[in-house]
Amino acid sequence: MLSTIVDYIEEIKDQFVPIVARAEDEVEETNDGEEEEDDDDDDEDEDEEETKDQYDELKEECLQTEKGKALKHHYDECAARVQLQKEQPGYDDLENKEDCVEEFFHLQHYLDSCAAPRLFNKLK
Amino acid sequence: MFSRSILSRMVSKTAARQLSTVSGNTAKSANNKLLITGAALAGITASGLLYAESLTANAMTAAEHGLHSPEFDWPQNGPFSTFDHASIRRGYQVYREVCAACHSLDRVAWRTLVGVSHTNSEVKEMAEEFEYDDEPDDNGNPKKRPGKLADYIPAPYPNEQAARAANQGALPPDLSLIVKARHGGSDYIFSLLTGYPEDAPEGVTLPVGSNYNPYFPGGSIAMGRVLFDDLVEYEDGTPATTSQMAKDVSQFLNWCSEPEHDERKRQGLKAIIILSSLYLLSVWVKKFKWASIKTRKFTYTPPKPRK
Amino acid sequence: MSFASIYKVLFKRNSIFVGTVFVGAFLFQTEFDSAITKWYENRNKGKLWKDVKARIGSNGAEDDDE
Repeated sequence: MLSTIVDYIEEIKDQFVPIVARAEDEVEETNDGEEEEDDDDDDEDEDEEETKDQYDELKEECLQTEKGKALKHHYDECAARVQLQKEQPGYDDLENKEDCVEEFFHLQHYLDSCAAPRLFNKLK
Repeated sequence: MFSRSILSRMVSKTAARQLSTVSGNTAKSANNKLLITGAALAGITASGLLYAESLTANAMTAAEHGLHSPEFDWPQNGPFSTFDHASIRRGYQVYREVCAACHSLDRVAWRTLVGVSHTNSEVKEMAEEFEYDDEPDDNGNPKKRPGKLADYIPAPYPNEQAARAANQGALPPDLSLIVKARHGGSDYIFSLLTGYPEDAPEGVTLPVGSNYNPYFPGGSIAMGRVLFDDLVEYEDGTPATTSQMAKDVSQFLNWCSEPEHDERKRQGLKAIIILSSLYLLSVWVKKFKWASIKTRKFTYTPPKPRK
Repeated sequence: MSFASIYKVLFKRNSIFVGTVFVGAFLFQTEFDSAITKWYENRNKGKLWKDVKARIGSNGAEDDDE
C-alpha cells in the first residue's frame, strides 16, 4: 500500500519535472512513425497481388484524416510509454501496469464510426 | 469586542477566580486542537489510502464492457425491408465451410432453408451428406441413415464436454439464436468477426490460448480470427473478402435467429394499415353518434306566474 | 338516388346483406393482401428468394418451394 502511494507521488513528480526520458520518448516516436510507413507499404504491395478487404481499406483511409492521425498519435505515444516501462527492471512485479486499451478503443471507435456507414455500399 | 470588555471588567474585579477560569480554557482548547488534528490526520490518511487503492482497481474499465460496435447499413434495416437472400445463401456457405467446424446450429432444421436460400433438391442433397441415427435393425443393432429434410443441422461435437475438450475448455456457443442473444445483434457479430487487430494493444496480457478482440467484453476471446480474404469461393463470383464473408454469415445467422423476419414485416405492414384505418373509422363513428348529443340545446321556459 | 338503389339491391333482404358482407370481406382481404405483397416485393426487389432462384438457374426449376 505504502509503496503504491510512494509510486504515485513519484509519478506526479515525473509529470512535473522534465527528465531524460523525454528525449527518449521523442526518439521512440519517430521510430514508430517509420514503422507505420513500412506497414503501409506492405499493405499496398498486397493490394496489387490480390483482392483487398474493403473494410480495411476504408479504415486506412480514415486513419489518414486529421482526427485519425491524432488518435493514432495518442495510441503510439501510449505504446511507447508502456514499452519504456516494460524495459525497466522490476516491471513484472509492478502492482499496477499501464495498458493502452483506452487509447486503442478511442482510435478504433473513431475508425469504426468513420468507415462503417460507407462499408456496405462496397459489399454485395 | 463587547465580550472582551466584559471579560476585562471581570478580570479587574475578581483576580483569583479569573486565574482559574483562564487555565481551564487553555486546557480545553488544547484538547480540542488535538482532537481536530487527529480527525484531520485520520481523514487525510483514509482518503490517501482509498485513492491509492483506486489506482489499482480494474473495475468499470472500457475493456471490461468491450468496444461498442458501429451500426452498419444492413439490407434488412428499416420497417419494410427484407433480408438479402443471396447473402443468406452465401452466409450458409461460410457457416458450413468455416463456422461449422466448431459451432452447432441446433435449432435450425434443413427444411427451413428450402425457399429461403436453397432449393428443395439442394437442401436434400446437403442433408444426405450427414448421417443420423436410425431405428435399430431386427437384431437390435443401431443403424445409421442419411439425413432428411426434417432433420436438424448436425452439431460438430456430440456434447458440451467434447466441445470443451476440443477447444481448451472454451465452449463454442450454439449459433441458432446468437444474433438475438448478443447486444448489438448483427452489428456485433460483424464487428467481432472483422475486429481482430494484428496485435493486442500495448500492455495487454492475454491468458494462454486466447486472442484479443476489442468488441468481446473483457477483450480476450478463445476464438481466433477465422475469416481471411479468399477463404471460401462463392458460387456467384462475389469476391470473398473478410468483410464480405462476415456480412454474409451475419446475415445468415440473423435469419437463423429470426426466420419469420420477412413475413413478419409484411404482416406488420398489413396490420398497421388495417388497424389505423379501423381506428380512424371509430373516431368518425364516435363523432357521428355524438354529433346530435353535443349539439343539443336545452331550454327551460319557466311557467308564467299566476296572479 | 344512388343510395336508394344500393339499398334496394343489397340491404333490403338480410340474407343478401350478410352475403354481401361475407363476399366483400373475402374479396377485400385477397385484394388487399396481393396489393401489399406486390408493393412489398417491389420494394425489396433483388433481395428476395425468387430473385436468387432465378439467378442460380434452372438447377431446381421443377422444385416446389414450400
